[in-house]
Amino acid sequence: MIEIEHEYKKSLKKVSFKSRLFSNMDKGVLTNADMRRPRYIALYIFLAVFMLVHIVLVLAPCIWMLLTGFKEPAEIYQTPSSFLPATFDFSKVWRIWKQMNFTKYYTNTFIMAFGAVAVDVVVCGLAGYVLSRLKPKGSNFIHGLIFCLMLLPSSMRQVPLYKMFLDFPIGHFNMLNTYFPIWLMAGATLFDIILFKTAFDNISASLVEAAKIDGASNMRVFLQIMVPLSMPVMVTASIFAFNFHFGSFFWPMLTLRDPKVSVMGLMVYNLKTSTMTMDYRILAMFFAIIPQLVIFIIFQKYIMGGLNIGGVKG
Amino acid sequence: MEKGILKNIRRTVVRDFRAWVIILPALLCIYFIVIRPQILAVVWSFFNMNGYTPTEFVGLNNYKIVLTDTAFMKTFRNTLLYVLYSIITGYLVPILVALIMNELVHFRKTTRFIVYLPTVMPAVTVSLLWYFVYYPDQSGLLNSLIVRLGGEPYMWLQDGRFTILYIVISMSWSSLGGMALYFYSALQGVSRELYEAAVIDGAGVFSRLKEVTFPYMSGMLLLFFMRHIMGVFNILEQPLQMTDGGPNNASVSLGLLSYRYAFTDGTPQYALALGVIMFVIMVAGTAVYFRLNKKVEENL
Repeated sequence: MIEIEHEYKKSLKKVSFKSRLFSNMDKGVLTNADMRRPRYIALYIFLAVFMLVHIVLVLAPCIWMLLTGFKEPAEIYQTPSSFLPATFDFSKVWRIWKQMNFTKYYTNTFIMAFGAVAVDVVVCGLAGYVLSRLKPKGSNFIHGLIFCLMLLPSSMRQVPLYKMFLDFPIGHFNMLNTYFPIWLMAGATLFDIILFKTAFDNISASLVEAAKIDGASNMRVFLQIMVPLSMPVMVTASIFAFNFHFGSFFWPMLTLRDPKVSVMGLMVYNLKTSTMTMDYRILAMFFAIIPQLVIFIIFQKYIMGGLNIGGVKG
Repeated sequence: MEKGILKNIRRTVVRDFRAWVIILPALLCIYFIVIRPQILAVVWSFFNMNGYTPTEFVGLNNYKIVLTDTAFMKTFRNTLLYVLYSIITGYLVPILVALIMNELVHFRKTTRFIVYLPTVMPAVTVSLLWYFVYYPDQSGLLNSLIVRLGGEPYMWLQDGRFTILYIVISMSWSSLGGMALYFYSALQGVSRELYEAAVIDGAGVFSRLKEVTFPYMSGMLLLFFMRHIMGVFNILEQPLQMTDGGPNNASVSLGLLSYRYAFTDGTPQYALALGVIMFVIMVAGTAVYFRLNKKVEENL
């Protein structure tokens, strides 16, 4: 027995470096067998170079943005321009934070985005629960209706929606310069209703039955069975919703006219016409990306997994 | 016996009532945010408007004015250009990237991370970042490179012939990653045995792609193709943020034209009529999609 193992290990060592390099061609069109032929190795190298170029093109603007942000205005305009800034003056970050009052922007944007995520998850989650489990008479119609409404272009609704935010049909109050328009729109995220319904459909019915027999109310079943058991979908949907709302621009531009309630998307847009020097304008842009970047790094698994969910949505 | 049935009915009614209460917030949101404005958008497009309040019924007059506006045909052509360019940079390139990602076995996670990275950025940040990349003097990334190589700074976004192309490149730079990863995760699902079987049949790499990968992906590719076109057809934010339609209206899209009617020119009735016209064009496009889809399915 030991001898066989020894033989096996010896044979492993014999395998050339080249084939070990391509030992796990497990998903693509190219197979392990192909990789023993120089033709395909050349093809592989070509593809890798293409990818490298792509990665450089993706990263170049980001790196340039970071470096330019730390340059002095004179450095930006000197010829030939230098690649690295002369000094990394991190006090600049603090200066710009104070000058632009980022405390205000972050507070406002987080209130708007977290509110929207909360409304989205609670309202759409409950709707998905009703459509998936409680199924009152007529819920099939609602389900079909939601599918049809998803096909309609949202750009058509801009004017009537704006009018509604100016003057709500019930009570005739004005919602401009509050976050209610954004939150209300978050409650009508049709895709998330369908997404949550599908997720709840996959939860075993016997669990719900058992809870019902124990006398659990609808809300209890939702909070203690549905939500915990569909956590990955919930987290993914929340992340996508947060990223969407954190950087949203169009509706905040229309509804948040007062600088006091201004949010990050508007701050970035105003940088275009700002009188600040180039380096400050570019550095300020970073503040609008940092939260998404941090979330992306922490929740990479969910976001990448979420792409599978998204792929099914059509 | 009868009492039992009554009790049953009452129980169902009570149960259904509770369910409707739980879904009520969502239904209210959907009514006020989706259904009501969608209906009003069509109804009001036949009215004259004062501010944002409809005043008198004018029939098809708004449509006539929008369609005979000299800006309409030019804007329509611009929008088609946006769609055309973005099919190449925002649809075909991601397919290529996904196929390559699927082949490469080294640094898989890092590659995936970097490819997806720009998609994390909000659209407005991407627009501004590229506004600075295209900046007309040598402080922009591209012009600093040109100057370094000894050339004269080029007015990127101010060159009306190619403004749309440059805007499309900037938006594809960001959307590409997400699109590529959708395709990539679908490609990962292609059964290994199909490839092995094709290899045994003596199929080379390209015939494997054609015989195995493409048929597996065709449904998704067509679906994303249509969704991509629909999305770009409504494009509004990127031209608004990067050029505001300029130079000389060279990059105005139908979406931006509608925005101008509604929120800068004070004539929302034209925006509504234009919205309905765009919707009709899209419905026609969707009809084509379903016919194509049927054909693809028949061929499978």
